[in-house]
Amino acid sequence: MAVKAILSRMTLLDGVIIAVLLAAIGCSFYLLGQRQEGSRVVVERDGKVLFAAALDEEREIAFAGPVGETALVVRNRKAFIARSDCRDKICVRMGEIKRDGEWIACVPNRLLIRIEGNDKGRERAYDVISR
Amino acid sequence: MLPFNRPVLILLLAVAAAVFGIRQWTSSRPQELRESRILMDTVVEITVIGAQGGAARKAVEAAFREMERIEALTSFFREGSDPRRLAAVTGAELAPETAEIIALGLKVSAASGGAFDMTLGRLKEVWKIEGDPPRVPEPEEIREALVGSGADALRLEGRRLTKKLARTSVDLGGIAKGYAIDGAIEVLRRAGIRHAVVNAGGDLRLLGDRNGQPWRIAVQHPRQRDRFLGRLLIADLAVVTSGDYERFFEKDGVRYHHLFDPRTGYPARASQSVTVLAETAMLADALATAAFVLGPQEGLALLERFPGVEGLIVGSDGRPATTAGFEKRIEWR
Repeated sequence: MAVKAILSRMTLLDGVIIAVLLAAIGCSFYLLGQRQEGSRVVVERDGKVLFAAALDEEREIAFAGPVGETALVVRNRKAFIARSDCRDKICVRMGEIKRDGEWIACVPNRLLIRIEGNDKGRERAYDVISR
Repeated sequence: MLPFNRPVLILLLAVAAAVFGIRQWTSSRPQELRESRILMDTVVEITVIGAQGGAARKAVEAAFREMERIEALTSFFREGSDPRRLAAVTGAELAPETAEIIALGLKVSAASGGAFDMTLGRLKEVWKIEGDPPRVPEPEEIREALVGSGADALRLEGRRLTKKLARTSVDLGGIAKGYAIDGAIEVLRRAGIRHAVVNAGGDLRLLGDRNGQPWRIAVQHPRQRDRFLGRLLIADLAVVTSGDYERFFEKDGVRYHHLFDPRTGYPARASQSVTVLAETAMLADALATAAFVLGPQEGLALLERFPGVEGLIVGSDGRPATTAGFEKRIEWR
């Protein structure tokens, strides 16, 4: 009965205000949900993104290039090159990456594998790494 | 019965709007444009702050193209480059850019007593640090590769370079990347960009500050991949780090890396890593290599002789030593 009584006293403006409030609450949940999303692994060639995926999804994927295939593995929130048809295997020896901004490059196959952190919500302590 | 209270609702709405607004405002970052390319055997990333859209994108594209142009002029692995043209002759007229690089290189070479050396092309060939499988050359091969190299092996008059021997092999690996970074910064500056970073595999130069704040540059720990030595708060400077952890292989428990001591022909053993701050990336690049070879004591003395240059040298024992100005700019971890 109480609900009915309140509804009977509501005007159109009340309805609008309540709708806006509900929308604001909805948006907050959506934005919070986005912020909890993990980092991503991004694969680029010549400045173009070939592939991108969440770092917490395990997968193996091979990319064909000028000198053959380069296989990327994502496991335990880390990315690494498992094998590559290039001559020197520098990309394989570069090991695992997981931090925002870290990368592995396979120069002969012109592949760049990068970790992109989700730093929209949390402030990073640095802009660039000198190494 | 619950009263239906519009003022309370409006107040709630106002509070929600204020909270949301404050969060957006405090977490708001300046607009950022970030692009990367594989260039000069590494990943080059250009970040521009406070400018977006077509003009900024165009400027970044032009900066990448400038680096490509410099790579084509200076890389031994490019057909028609100056080092390649010089391969079989004792002298040649250089492109103005190459002459500028070699002029500064010779200055650093002289100041460091030959610790910085642009004539190690043959030595790098016999070592093939990045080969598969890597191997340690015989002492005889190393001695042979050093013939015709050294601080006195090159003479530059105007744009004409003369080599001591025809077999002297010019390698600009330790300095051309810095020059290319400087070139990219110049292109961005001329395009009206005021805040940017050009980062070539961890060697970088900053244009301006980070929208009123200093840039925060983390310095890699030479032995722990997941750790930083500290954080530099700086603007408008170049930062170059050279370390034995960048390109190396291990054999019988010994680490063989890509920074050679020109006196011995073997990887230099006095340091684990060196970080140099200078006004140009070219100077920082050359000095970082020289200081790495010299080690903490002589290396810091070398850096102190160049005005506006500061540095950090982690010795072979893992202990960091810095110039006075560097100490003031770093927050240790």
